[in-house]
Amino acid sequence: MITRRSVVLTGLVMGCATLATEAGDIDAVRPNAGAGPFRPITESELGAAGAPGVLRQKAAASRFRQASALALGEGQPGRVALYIVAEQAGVHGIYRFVAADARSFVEPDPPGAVLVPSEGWEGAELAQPEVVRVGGEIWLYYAAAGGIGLARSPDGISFSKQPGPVLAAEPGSSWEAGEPPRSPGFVELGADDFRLFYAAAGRIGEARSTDGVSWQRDPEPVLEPAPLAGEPLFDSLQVSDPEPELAASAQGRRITRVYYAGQGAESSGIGLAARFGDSGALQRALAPSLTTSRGPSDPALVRFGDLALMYFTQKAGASAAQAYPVIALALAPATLTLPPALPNP
Amino acid sequence: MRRAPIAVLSLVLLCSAGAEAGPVDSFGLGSRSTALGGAVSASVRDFSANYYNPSGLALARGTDLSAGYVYVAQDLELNGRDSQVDPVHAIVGGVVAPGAIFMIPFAFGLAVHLPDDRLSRARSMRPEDARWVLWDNRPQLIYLSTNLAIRPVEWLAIGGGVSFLAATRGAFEITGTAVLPVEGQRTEYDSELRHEVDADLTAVRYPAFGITVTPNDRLDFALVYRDEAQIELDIEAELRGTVDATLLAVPAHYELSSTTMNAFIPRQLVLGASWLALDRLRIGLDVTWVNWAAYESPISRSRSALDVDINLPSFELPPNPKPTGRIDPGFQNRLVPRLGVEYRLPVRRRLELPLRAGYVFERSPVPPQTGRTSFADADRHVLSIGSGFVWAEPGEVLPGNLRFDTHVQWAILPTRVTLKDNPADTTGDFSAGGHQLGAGATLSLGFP
Repeated sequence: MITRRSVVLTGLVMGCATLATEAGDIDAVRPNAGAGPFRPITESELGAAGAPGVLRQKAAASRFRQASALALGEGQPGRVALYIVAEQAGVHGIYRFVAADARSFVEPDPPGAVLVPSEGWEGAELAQPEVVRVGGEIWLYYAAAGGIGLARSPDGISFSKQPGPVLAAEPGSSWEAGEPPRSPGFVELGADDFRLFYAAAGRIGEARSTDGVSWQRDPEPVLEPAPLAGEPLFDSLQVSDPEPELAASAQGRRITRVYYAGQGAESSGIGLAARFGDSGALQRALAPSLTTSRGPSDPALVRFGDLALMYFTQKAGASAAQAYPVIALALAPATLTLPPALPNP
Repeated sequence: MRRAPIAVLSLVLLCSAGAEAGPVDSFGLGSRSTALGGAVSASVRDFSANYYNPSGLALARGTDLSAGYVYVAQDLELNGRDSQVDPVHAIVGGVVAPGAIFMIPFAFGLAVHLPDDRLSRARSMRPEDARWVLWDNRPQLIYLSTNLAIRPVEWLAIGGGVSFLAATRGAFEITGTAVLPVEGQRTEYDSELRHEVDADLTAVRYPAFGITVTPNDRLDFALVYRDEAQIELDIEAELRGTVDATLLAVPAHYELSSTTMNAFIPRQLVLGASWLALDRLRIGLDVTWVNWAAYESPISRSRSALDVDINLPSFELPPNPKPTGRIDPGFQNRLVPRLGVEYRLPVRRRLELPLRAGYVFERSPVPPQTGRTSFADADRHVLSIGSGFVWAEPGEVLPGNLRFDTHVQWAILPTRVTLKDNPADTTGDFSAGGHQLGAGATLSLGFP
């Protein structure tokens, strides 16, 4: 065994001779540090067991999944409303949860679902909500059996549905294979210039609108599965669940970023693709933004200054009994640490 | 016929011994030479000849001892934010000891640039890290150089020697049992782990040679060759032990291997001239070819493997990271012009006030970083001035001269903007620029 003295002496020699202090946090000077890669939060950051899952109480019965996030206040991080697909007391719908620290979600607020299936074209379930603030309203896009629907609200609680889907299956599309579009991802590029990214047939497409109701599809998908070349990639089979955002490079170039869920032959993860400007195909990053072994999907992004929080859905655990979904949280820059969680009310 | 074998023998002896360089490429050696922008290969006669041109040692008029200090603050920025590149501060000094062997003028020289806070600096990087690749590790090295020079004929001096750099090879090993804490029962401090560290600081040698041709009293020409040096950082790590989770003891084995090109000193070829335009005015011009294209990569090659002997469905192991390989940085060779002017202003009969100025332009060898790598760098304009005094025959104790030289060096790195091809690039667009401000002083004692 090596003695403590020899270890100390060797350490001193090594330290003095070669191992110097790092210049600091490299992410502090990486312009795109807030774009990822993301790091799942730890239990100390969550303030409870089960990290990175942020909503684990009754998760097996409620099947919390497919979150969309809306920032309600300032802070690092601040108040967040999550709109989540769940079954509560036997009622399927989209529920709203609020946490002052962006991660201590407990009970729905309000207690009941804010949106439930009620129209014939919707079928039995609503899915993949996308909540955005447009002007003075809260818009909630959602997926249903017949396509993508829209509901609007003045307060984020009481919603009024737009009659019929705003984006339905397009038999004439060359790549959608007649499937109804799913996974709406909304971004406002400018006044009366709205874009809706959606998934169909394992690809991601884009539609344009001036009012958020009438949408015009682009003819070609903006992101397809990664080409099969060399080693298997996390998104070589399909891409889905687009979550777009507008950004600007450090040199002021306008960038449209789209986070997405990728599925490969051996792995899955959350990826990032982007383009300069407002039109055209997306170019993927060289590495995924987030990978776990539990099939992460449905990214939902919210930003507080330099801090980016990504909510995503994944399996609760590795065993068959833990195959139910949970909402988990990751952050970027990965070198940041969240302040202590606030105690639950 | 006997002179050539002596010269060759001297050089062979030196190669088998050792001497050294690195930070002096960037910030100079000695205040006089630095103030002249390093355009001194044909005129250098003091201890800095060990770096600028070893043959200059044989042209020294007598034994010369020098000691000094240099400090360089690096105000380098990425996207307007301080990159926190460490300053360079070091003790410098050296000796020139001339003599004669078989009636042939002969000189021995030694020079050192010794950082006063660290002997070497090691840091590996990921491809996506934006970093001042030429300025954070490379100047943080010891420079030690020893040389021999002869003057076989009046108009020719030949010199050469070896420079040394420090390289690190290390390994550490951890064995034992790591306890997973259980609240109120056990903590991680109950672990019994043994550590073993084995690290070497080894020398990397590279040779340098130079000649000086003096056709007349007013002209000198020089040709200098400095070889390439690569400093690699090799780390081997191994963890063997047991993770004790109270109800379960899990054998675990983790291996990590990483090799990084920590610093690279490129091969250089210098052509220099010195012209005594007036009796008190000397002008120097050097052009240096720098072989940056040989730089392999500053990105580490690493591999790691985690092996945990457990077979529980609820227990997940993270996947082993894929090995990383080197990426050709595509650095480009460059020509570096250096210009220096020195005027010796007489103050009194035995007292002179030298006034010096220099300029260097270093085009960045780093190609546009539009792809995966993000090496920050910029062209470099270096302005320098210097002064001091030369006191001839100050007293019986020192019948030669007493010299005190100072310099100020200001390097301007105009902002260079990098626009990435991929909008999803992990680093993104960035700008890099800044300043480096250095100052130093050297005190020299000359003996006849």
